[in-house]
Amino acid sequence: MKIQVKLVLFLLLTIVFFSVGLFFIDQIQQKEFFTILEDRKEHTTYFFNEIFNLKGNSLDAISFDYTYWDEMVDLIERKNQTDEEAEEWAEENIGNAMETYDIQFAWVYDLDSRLIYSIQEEEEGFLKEFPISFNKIKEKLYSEHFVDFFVWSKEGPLEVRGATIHPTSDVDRKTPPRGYFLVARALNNEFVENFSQLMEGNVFLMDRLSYKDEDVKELHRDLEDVFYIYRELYGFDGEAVGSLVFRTQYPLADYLLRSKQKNFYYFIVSIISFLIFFFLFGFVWISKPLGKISKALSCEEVDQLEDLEKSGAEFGVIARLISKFFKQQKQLKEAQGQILQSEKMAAVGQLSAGVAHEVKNPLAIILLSVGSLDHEIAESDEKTRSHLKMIKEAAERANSVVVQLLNFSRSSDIKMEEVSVEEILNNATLLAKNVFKSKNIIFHWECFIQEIIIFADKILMEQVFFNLLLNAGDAIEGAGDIFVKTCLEKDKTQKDQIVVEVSDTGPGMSKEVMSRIFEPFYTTKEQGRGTGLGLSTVYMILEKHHATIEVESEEGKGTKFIIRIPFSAK
Amino acid sequence: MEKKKIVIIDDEKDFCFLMKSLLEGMGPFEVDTALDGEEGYYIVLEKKPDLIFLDYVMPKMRGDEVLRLLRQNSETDKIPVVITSGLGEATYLEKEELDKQGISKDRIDRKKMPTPKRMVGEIFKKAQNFESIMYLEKPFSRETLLGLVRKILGDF
Repeated sequence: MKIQVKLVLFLLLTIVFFSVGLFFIDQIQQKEFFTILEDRKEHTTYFFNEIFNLKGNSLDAISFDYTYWDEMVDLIERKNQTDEEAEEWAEENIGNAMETYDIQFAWVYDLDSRLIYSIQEEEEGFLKEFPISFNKIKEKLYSEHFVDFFVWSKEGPLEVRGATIHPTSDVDRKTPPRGYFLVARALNNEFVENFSQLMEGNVFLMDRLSYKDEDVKELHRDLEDVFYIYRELYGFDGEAVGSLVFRTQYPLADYLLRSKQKNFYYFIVSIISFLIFFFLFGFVWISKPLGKISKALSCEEVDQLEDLEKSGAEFGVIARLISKFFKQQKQLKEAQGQILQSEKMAAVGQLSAGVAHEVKNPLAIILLSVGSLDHEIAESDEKTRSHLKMIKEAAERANSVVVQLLNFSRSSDIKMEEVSVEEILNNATLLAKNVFKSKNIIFHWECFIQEIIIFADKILMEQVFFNLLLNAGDAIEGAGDIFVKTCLEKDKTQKDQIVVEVSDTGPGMSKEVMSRIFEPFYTTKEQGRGTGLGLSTVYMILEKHHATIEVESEEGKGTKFIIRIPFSAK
Repeated sequence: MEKKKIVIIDDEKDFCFLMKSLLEGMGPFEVDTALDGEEGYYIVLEKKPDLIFLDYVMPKMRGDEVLRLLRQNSETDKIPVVITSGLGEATYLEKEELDKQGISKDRIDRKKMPTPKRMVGEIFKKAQNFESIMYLEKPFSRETLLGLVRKILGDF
């Protein structure tokens, strides 16, 4: 699996883990939040009920206190006779109590359900008679002495208390009732506003007749930040006539909800920015350099790592290490090749010396014998003479091979002296010109150095350039040119070196040939013409001089040998 | 006219025979041969030849030793000597030199060792009469031999 894929997978996993973690934290928070909300709701409900009950207390008080009272009994009896004093008394006592007890309505009935007296605050709508049929209430009131219920009158909802009237002495209401006393408080705007202020929220009334089941459902539904407390207002017959509803918004809940939402958005935004950041920089910092490194490694081209090597980061270190490794490997291969070549040549050299000695004596005998025979046979014996000539030529050829072998084996014995580069090249060229005088070859000189003296073995160096010129001349078929160019250059370590280029206009050679030309006994010349030791000798001699040789060639375009001799060679 | 005397010192028997027959065929020469340095030295002392062909690598006494002895002797120090050897033999000399010193060839700094060419040069230098020593590299043709002998001994 590629590292990029792994990184992406890792990233996705991280995101999933974070999301799951965040989800659980959110769940816990939500639970806590609902607990708090529930608590708050419970508290508020308790508070709501307490206030409601407290509000009802004054009604309880007046309905209780004013109904074991002789004057009240007296009122009923006197009123039956339409006593004006009684009217005045009622006005003074009940009317004054209304403000104290915060009630708006009061009714007094006698045992026969006749309205004895009724009073109400001026602003309220006029309700002379009790809004529902008193006969319905009377029965219950008679047996139970107290009633409390709600009435939804045409003027609005009323909270009602009723009690039987008894003499002052009968606190426990053991005697039969003498009449009935009803008080009511209007659940009007004032009441609602007051309630709202106390609850620090929105309290309102709902008519049982005008609200539908959906509304109730709505009330039961827990919105997240809003909740309702409602209390049904039961009528005399136990049916709800309406509801008092408290709607409250929980500011902390709202805040929590919004912060939850915000947190979610922050999470999404940070994930997205993290992803963008990760992909952008991950690509620039990790994927790109890694890709480069793996590509360079797979196609073994270290040049591609050049940019990366300049970096001071870890990838830079890796890149430097890789290119160093490849460079060393390359150098090692070259060094190995050179060592192999040198060892091969040294082995050939040693062998040559031994062989040459053993071959030279027999050759001497052969040549002398041929000479002797040639001298002795008759002038006319042409056949024998031609055979002798062939033997002589063959022996001479064998000898020339032996001589070259010896030269080769001796190329490592160098005798350093101060010599002029120009002189060496001149001598070699003169010799070569002499060899190729029958061929139409033009020698070109291009010398940018003069009077340069180096430490070298003069004879061996002459042999080097003679061999190179010989090869160049041999390569040319018919007419052609040979160029010798010399100049002074700096090497890698800024040391002077002499560069000699020997090039020809011959047919050139293939890469395969080029890779083998310095091998001993490798020759492309026809049988008997080359020993394959010329360039090996050149190589050996140059190696001993710490000089190098390079070959450039293209088939059909000629060959160029480049020799670099260190100037300070001693 | 007295025959010119030539002594050939070479461990190669066939070479000696061939040289003897060739030289005798060339002119009025009296040719003696020796197959090792010691024998050759005594023959030279006995014959007092006009020309000596001296091989380099030989049993019992080497060519340069023979040469040194001859140069020390006033009776023989003017005799022209032709050293007949291949350069290859000179390489052998070098090896012998090393063996004498008891060192392996691989451990030798070759630059410090005398090269074969130089060793021949040393021999030349050691000789008192420089002109009387020539070097003839094996193999050589009958014509070369003839030319050299003519040069040293004059027309015959």
